[in-house]
Amino acid sequence: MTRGVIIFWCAFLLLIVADYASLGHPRREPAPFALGSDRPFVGGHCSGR
Amino acid sequence: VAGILATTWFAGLRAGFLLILGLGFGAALSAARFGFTTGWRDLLQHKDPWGMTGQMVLIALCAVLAFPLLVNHSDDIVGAVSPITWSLLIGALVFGFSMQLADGCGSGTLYKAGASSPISWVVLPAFIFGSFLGAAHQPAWVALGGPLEMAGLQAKAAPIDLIDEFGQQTALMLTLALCVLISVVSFLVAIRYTRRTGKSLPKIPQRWFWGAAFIALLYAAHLIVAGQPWGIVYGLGLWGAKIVSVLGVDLSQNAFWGAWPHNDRLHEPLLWDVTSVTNIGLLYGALIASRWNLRRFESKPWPAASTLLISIAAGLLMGYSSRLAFGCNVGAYLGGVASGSLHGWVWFVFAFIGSIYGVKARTKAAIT
Repeated sequence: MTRGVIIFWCAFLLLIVADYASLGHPRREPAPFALGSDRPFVGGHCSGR
Repeated sequence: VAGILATTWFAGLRAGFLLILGLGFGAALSAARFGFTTGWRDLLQHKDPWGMTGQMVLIALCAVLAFPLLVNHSDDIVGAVSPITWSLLIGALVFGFSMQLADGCGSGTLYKAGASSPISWVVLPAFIFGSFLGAAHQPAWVALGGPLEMAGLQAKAAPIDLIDEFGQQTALMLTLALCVLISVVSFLVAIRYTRRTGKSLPKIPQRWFWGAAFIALLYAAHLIVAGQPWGIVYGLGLWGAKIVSVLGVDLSQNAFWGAWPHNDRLHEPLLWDVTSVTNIGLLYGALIASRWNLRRFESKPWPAASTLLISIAAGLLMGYSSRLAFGCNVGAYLGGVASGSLHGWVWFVFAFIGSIYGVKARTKAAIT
C-alpha cells in the first residue's frame, strides 16, 4: 500500500507541475484575504457562480 | 512545508493559506472520521443518532460564524445561494443514493482517497469525470426550471435567501431551530428503537463533536480567505475538464466550460482555483492524519471486483449528480444552509431520501 501511496502522490504532483508549466509559468498575487479586499471572488464554486 | 511555500510562490499568499486550510480539513475529517455518508447510514441502519447530531452541530456552528460575515461583508464575501430547480431535486436524490454505494460523499471520497482507501482511489477518478460531464450538461438541466416556477410561485427559478427574506437574526434562529429539530427527531428514532429491541443507546463518540467544532472554525477561516464557502466538486470537475482538453476535446463551445468565468479557470493554473487548492490540501491532510494511526492505515485490503465496479459506477453518478444539485454535501448542503439558502435544506431532504434507497441497495449488493 505504501508503494501505491508514493506512486499516487508522484503522479499527482507531476500533473500539477505539468499544468502550471504548460501555461507558461504565470504569476499573480491577489490580496491574501478576500475579507477587506472589496473584490468578491467570481467563478469557481459548486453553487454555480 | 515545501508544498505550502511552492504554492505561495507560484499562486500567491491566498493560495498558500487555502492549502493550509485544506490540510486542516483533511486532517480533521480523517482524524475525527467525520463522514456525512456514515452518519446517515448509522441512523438508518443502526438507529445511531450521533452522526446526524454531529452534522447538525457542524451546520449550526458554521451558520453562527458565517451569517454575520455574509451580512456585514457582502462586498467581498458571497454565500452559496442557488435556485430550487428540478436539477437540484433529481441531483440530490441520485447523489444521496450513490454516496451510500460509493461509501463516501464529496468530502468523504477525497479524505478517504487521501488516507489511502482503495475503494476511494477508484471512486475518485470516476467522480472527477462525472463532475466534468455534469457541469458540461448543467446549463441544460437548469433551463428545465423548477417546482416553484411550475406552481406559479416564482416567475423564473431563483434562489431563496433566508437572510434576505427574514433578516440575519430570524434566518439564524430558523436555521438553528431546524438543526435542533433534526437532532431531536434522530434521537427519538433511536430511543424508540432501544425500547423496542431492549438494546441500549450507543455511546456518544466525542470525535463527532470535536470534529464538528474544528471543521466549523476552518469553514469560517475559508470564508474569510477565499470570499466564498468551502466547496469540493467544482474543483474536481475542473480537473476533469483539463484532462479532457489535454486529450484534444474542444470545450470552447460548451455551454458551461466555454462560458465565462469557467473558461478562464480552464486556461489558468489549477493552483489559482480555490476549490482545487483546498482539495489538494485535503487529500494530503488526510494522508498525514491517517499516518498517525499506522496500523489502521496498513490494514486496508482491496475489495472484491464486484464492489469495485459498483463503486466506480456510483462515483460517476455522484460526480454527475453533484453538478446538477449545485454541489455535494459540502458545497450545497453545508455551504447552502450556512449561507441561509433554502436550496441547502432541499438538498438535505432529497439526498436523505436517496440515501434510504442507497442503504437498501448497499445491503442487497452485500457491500460491507
